[in-house]
Amino acid sequence: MSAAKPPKASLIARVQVVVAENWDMVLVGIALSCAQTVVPGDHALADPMLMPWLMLCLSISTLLRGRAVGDGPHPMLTERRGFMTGALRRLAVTAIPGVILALFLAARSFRSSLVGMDAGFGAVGLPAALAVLVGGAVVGLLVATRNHGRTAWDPPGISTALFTAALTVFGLSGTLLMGAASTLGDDGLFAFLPQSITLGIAFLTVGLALGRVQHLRQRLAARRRDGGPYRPAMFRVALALAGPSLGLWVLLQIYARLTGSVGFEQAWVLVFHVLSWSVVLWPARRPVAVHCLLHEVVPIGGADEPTSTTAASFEEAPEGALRINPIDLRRTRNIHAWTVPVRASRIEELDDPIRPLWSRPAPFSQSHALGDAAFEPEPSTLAVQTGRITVHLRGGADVASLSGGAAVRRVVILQAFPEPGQPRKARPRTYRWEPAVPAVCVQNVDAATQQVTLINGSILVLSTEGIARAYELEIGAPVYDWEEAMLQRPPQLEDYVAT
Amino acid sequence: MHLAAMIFLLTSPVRAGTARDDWALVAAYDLAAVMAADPQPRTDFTWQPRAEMEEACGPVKMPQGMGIMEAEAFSSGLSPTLALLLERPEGHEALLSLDNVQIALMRGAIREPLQPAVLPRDLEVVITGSAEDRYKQLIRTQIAMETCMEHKVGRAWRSSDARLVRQAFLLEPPGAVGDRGPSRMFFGGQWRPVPALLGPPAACELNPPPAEDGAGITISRGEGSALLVPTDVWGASLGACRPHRPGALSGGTPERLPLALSAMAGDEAAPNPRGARERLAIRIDQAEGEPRIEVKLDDQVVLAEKDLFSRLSDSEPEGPEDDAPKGLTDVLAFVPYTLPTVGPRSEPDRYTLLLVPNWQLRDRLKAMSLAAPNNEELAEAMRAENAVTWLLEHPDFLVLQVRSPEAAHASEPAVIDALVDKITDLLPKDEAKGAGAGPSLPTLSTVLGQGGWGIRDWGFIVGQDRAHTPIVLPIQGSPSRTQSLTAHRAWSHGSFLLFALMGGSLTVLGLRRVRDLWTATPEERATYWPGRRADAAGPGMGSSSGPPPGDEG
Repeated sequence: MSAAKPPKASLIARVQVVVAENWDMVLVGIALSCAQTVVPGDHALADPMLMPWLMLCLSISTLLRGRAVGDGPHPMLTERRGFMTGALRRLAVTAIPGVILALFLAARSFRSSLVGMDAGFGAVGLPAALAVLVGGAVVGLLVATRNHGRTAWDPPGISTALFTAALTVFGLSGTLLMGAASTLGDDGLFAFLPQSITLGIAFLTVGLALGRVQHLRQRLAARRRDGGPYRPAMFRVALALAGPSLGLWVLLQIYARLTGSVGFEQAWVLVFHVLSWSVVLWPARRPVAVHCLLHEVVPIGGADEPTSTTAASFEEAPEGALRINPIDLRRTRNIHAWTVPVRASRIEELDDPIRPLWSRPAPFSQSHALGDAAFEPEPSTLAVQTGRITVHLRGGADVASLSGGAAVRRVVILQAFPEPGQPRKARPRTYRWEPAVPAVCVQNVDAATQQVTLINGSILVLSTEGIARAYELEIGAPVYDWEEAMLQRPPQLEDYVAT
Repeated sequence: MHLAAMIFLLTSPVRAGTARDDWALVAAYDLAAVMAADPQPRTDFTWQPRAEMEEACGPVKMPQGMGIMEAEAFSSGLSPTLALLLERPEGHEALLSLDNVQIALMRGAIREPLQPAVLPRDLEVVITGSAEDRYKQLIRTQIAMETCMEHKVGRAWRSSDARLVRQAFLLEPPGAVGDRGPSRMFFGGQWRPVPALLGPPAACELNPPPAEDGAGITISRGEGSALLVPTDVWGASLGACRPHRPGALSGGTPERLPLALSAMAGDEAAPNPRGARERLAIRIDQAEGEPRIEVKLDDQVVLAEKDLFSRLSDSEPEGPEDDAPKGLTDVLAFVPYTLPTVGPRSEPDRYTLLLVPNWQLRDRLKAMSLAAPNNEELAEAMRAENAVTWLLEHPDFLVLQVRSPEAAHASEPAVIDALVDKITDLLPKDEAKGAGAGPSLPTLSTVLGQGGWGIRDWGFIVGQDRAHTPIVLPIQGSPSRTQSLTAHRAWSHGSFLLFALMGGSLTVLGLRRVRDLWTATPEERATYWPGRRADAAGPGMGSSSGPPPGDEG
């Protein structure tokens, strides 16, 4: 029996996923596009060569997202981390685009002065001095924080000094070459080529500066699961160098042919290009779990008096009954912590073909009273999401075990309003006086129910012979490390039943 | 490979720059408003006429009703002034003159031309030829009167029809002209557009004839009145040329209105060019009894040989040629005026500045509203004191045309349009908008911002494609960044983009949830909700035990 085919994701759904995952980049893009208009035409950022603006965009995206382009350490080793060392290291790599810009400008001015153009000492000396000073500071910070990200195992292999020196020479010479080449003109296919290649060099430099040669040695020494030699993932390195370069060059060539000229007026195009490649090369971190809270809630004004002493007809709406409404309740002081794991469509650690160093520990297990709860991937886009908890009930046994008799026990999950995009078809009504409520807003849990979904603000109502308790779900902040996630106390059964 | 590439780079020539194919409008702003954005630096420009002109023509007067020379009004920011900055095509060396630029207000079939300010001329007149002296004296008197009029009011003489020339020479009093309201004196007043001069003009004769008897008699040249009087015109003379070094006057005061280009990334603004003396060679010969004239300006023929007396331009061609009224050829009308240019040191003439004072716009709008009394837009324009601001909000009224390099010898100028690559087709288009249907031309609205969805009303005046171009102000030094940002409405533009994005996002989010307003919410009913115990004290809302008495079931 084949598995059910997941629904096809619409373009809007895919865009929503991308925007939701990268909202920080979207905000930066909007802010930079608006700020572009208030940059004076004679400001250094408004250089028609576009390099200062490109490097500013890269600096900001590095500050927010910068990450190593390599595979990282062996997945079973824990990195050493510190707040200050991490912050200083990030500050250092944020300044790398500025160093590259200074080198580019110095080389450009130097070559101009060599061939007779009036570049002046300031045009050459100032960026060169800046490159030396800021570059020295960057190197100093990287050396001072070299223990950040260090792991325990340091097998012999490729020399860190040799590898770093080779990459530094490549980056320096490439940047100087492009700076000098930028004076050759901006006609035809050569136009924008030096700036584009320099952008790729900057992306690669930032990615390599955040990596460690030790990690490469670890992987080479560990080899693959099948015993074969480990081959470094050169694709990401090549993508960091060639992707932004080729993309920018093609983009500006097309733009120039369509509009006739490209200058700082088109800086917003560069903003979204740099940020897009930052998203590709440095995707948003995916959480492993989300801390949630279950607030015990009671209805407001639910103790209204019955208006009649005789039983009313079924055709009449009952009055005076105590009722809870998702938008008309108040919280008590009882709060229950609940850590819900986040599941991705692929498990990255299992995708990593590196040979494990020892037996893998038991995975984190979720032991909720209702069943197996997790943030499962969106069925259509298979994207990681942290807005909807899916609870797979354990064959109806949980419902009965809460009280011992499903006939008199009731679990209902209420949701005030459907989420945007959810169907609003009304559920069948039992009585005429019942309002037409969207079916997705009420989930009755009975012995036949397989799974239920919870979103932020969902109300879990557990009633026993007319006595009920209700809990409001609050989805909290995601956590990115299992160590942090395990600090939470798993919910217990007694959290949900009356004492 | 790197070494080989380095060697190649160090030995190959440097090339830079982006090709510009056609004229482009790169900035449009109100000069006075932009200058007011940053009070420093200003210029100390004052109108200081040449001494020889004062000797030959008498004291300067101001245009009627203004009390100040227009160039001084520009420099002090006393009056709103429309500034349009044009960027020339790559490799186009010729300077723009008034003959190559047309700027007009236009709505439907109504077209009212405007006259932007021009650079003053410094003419060295040489009159030669075999004609009788009386003909030479006629031309000499004509040039003296017209150059003295320029000296008196600081405006450029471009001639006109006989009626307006008589009014300029104060032969006819100002009066009502048709249905366009009262005339306020052509050339010296504020009715018909006349180009302002950006500095005092000068004219002299290289070899004047020997003084005649009675030359020592003092002639009145309008000294007795603050307003223009006939002796201002009829007492004019053309002095003999003296050596003059163009540039700054004594005390460092600039001779012409200084024009400062805002700083450009990677380039420095070039200093304003100094005015050079031009030789106006007039040759009058007599063939078969009829005098004929030829005019050259610095060896360039500006008027090919023709009859000195020709049919008046506004006379009706009735009857035989000999019976038609004839007039003296206006020589100065053929001498072109140059528009002011600025630019970086690498290309000093890259930008051409058009300055149109507020009074021209208001009077032309008034003329248009009189011609189309039912047009509501024009009625609104008449209520606006600042016609420059109004026009920047309604750029579809402004037509600007420049003769493109390809059409340098064509009879019709090409149209500037920075966004629509090139428009060479000037055939009339059907447009029923405005005051009556008629031929129309592309207007500045295509350059100053798209009018769709009324976004211009929300601050989107200058498009993002032209937000960082340089501006020009009549100040010393360089326009500040505040002034540049003000000219390009940068803060309005940035705020508009930001709030448009925010508003759009919130609207989309709100629309996605608007159905919740009428969606019923679910309820769950129970007989008893555990809450605070009836006998418990304090505000605790913790767990409780059983139901209250008598409430079971």
